[in-house]
Amino acid sequence: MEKTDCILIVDDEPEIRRLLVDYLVRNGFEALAARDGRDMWQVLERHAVDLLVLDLMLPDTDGLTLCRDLRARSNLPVLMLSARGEDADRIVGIEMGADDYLVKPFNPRELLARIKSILRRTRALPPNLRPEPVRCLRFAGWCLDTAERLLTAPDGVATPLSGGEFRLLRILLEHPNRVVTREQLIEMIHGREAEAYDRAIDVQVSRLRHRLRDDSREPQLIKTVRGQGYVLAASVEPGNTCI
Amino acid sequence: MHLTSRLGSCLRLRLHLPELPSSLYARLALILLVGLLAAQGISLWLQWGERSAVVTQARGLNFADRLAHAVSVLETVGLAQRGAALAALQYDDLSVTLVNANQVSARVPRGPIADLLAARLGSQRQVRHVPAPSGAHAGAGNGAGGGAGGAAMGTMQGDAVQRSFDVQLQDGQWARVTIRRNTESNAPALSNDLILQLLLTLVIVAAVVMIAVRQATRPLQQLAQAADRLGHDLDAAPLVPGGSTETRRAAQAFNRMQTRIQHLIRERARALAAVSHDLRTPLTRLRLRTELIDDAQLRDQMASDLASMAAMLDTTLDYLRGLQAHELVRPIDINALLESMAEDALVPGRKIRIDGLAQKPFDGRLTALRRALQNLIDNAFKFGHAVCLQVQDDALRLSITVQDDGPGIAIAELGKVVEPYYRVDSARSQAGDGVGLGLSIVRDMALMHGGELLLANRPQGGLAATIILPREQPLAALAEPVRKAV
Repeated sequence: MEKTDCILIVDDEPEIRRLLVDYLVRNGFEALAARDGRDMWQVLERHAVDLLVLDLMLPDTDGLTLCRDLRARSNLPVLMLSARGEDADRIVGIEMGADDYLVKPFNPRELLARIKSILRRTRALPPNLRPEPVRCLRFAGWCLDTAERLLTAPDGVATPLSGGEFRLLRILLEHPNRVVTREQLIEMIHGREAEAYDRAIDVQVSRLRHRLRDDSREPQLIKTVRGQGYVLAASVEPGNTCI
Repeated sequence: MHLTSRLGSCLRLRLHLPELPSSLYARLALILLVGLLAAQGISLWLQWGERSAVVTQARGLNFADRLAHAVSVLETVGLAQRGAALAALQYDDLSVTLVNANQVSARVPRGPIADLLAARLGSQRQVRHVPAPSGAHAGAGNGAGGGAGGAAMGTMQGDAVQRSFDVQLQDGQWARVTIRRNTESNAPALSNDLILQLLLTLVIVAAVVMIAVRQATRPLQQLAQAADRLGHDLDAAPLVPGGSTETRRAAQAFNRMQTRIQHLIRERARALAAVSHDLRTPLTRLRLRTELIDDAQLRDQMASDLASMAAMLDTTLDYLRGLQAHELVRPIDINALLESMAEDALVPGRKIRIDGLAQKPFDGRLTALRRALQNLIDNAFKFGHAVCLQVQDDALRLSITVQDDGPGIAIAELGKVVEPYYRVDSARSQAGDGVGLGLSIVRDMALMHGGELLLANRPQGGLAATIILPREQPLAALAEPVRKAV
């Protein structure tokens, strides 16, 4: 990770573009800016960009369409920004393939943390195994809605998850029937400075098993691979909605 | 209407009836049924009278015929065979004896029976009416055979009624003819067919009355239900105008009102959303600029102010959105909801204890419930440190209490704090950011679920805010009596 990550900011507000570029550069990123969709495609042709920060409302093409077009060509991570703050926008944004969503005005440090988190998640595995962003993941009768961060049980009961439970389950679902090591989990969830979270992962897994009504002594869904990590023993199907 | 109400009060006065039933359907049906029964009773009574007159007359005819028959038999046979003829003429209800002239009754019959006898026996025939022996019956003494006699006999109590007449035969001999009959056959019995017919009429008319009243009152019920639904769900489907002109017009008026309310609320939401959106861009710039400030304390203070402003925008939008309940109702694992919220609260270092468990999933709107609980939890941490969630669950209601150890709320303020944009002046507001919508949102969310928000100061200090959610949906409960009535 010697190379500096390059972030492209697409926003029609010049002051916000300037301030964001400034802020990201001060925090160790390389940052570029584009004012609209046309501009964005030009920058993407000339530069190797690692992550896109995309405003939802743009003068020429709206952010959602851009995001969908982008998804059709590459799996460049996208963090969407919106000034509307509607739940529906967040859901649609993630449906269109955005990896995360922030409402203006946001705390710049929150933005920084989200950018790092997305990069970690997409980097922890080689590019050919990087998961396609989908809204819903179905497994063993359950369904995880990644936009609403909500788990639906086979009997239709909505089962809310904490942030930690959600991230853990999502990672396991993105790598079904493959052993994910505890180190990988910690890395993807918490980042590098992670020794303190060593035990926390086990607690999280046991909580998640409880949520999934999985017997912790003889788990069927999230199995422990002794000395290595965990594996989600189920096939996972992508879907558009859990209902 | 005036008449029926007078009839109602009259019924209550005379018959000491309890209050009329409360539903309009039951009232109208009851009043109409009482009227129907009265009409049927009167018609039955009239028919009865007419029938008894006819039957009595027929009996009189029958009596006269038999008497004439007995007389003609006695006159036809010779004196020698008269004894045998007498024996042959005896029946269960008819007896013929010969009497001496000195035993003959002095009374001359009057009324219809006299005419009948005269018609059968000839007008010059000597006929006397014999009063009944004492004890058997007193009424026959009035001498009237026909209708009047029948009516008099109808009042008789006793096992038998008898009528006797003395008739002089052509050879001068008097014969006494007595006809007996049982009192129960005195009243002309109503035939089964007639009773069946009356019952059928009663049932058919009663059914038609029920259907008619039902037709008349159902639009009212539908209107009431629609008004109730509108309270919970502004986007409820409009009423389908049908039935009579009046009910169609009422439904149309209701639908217009609903459309106007929807329009007003959407306009308000749109205006506020536009304002909040326009404010977000400069706030974002300001927030980014604060990161350029070197003075860490100043930077943090400004960031905190900006965060409050953003929170106000969010709360206002939340409040407005809460009024339009689009969210899907689905079963929610309440325990998972509370535990996930408690775990997420750990990230900024807030520890929440949870007491009690929900017994089964609750059918509700997840985002609304989460927002309501988050508001209560945020409030609790704004004013206290030790925050506890208490869950109580039974078949009727699920209640979730958020307790804190803060200063509580003055009793005079308890009722006001849930009003929109109301803020307390005292200790509570010193930590005061927010626009005074937090508890209003919670209350609206509780109402949306057919429940309520209760606020109380705990005896050991601090506030207890309880969301009570009924396990049975209010709309379903409301629809219940209707289904029974059908």
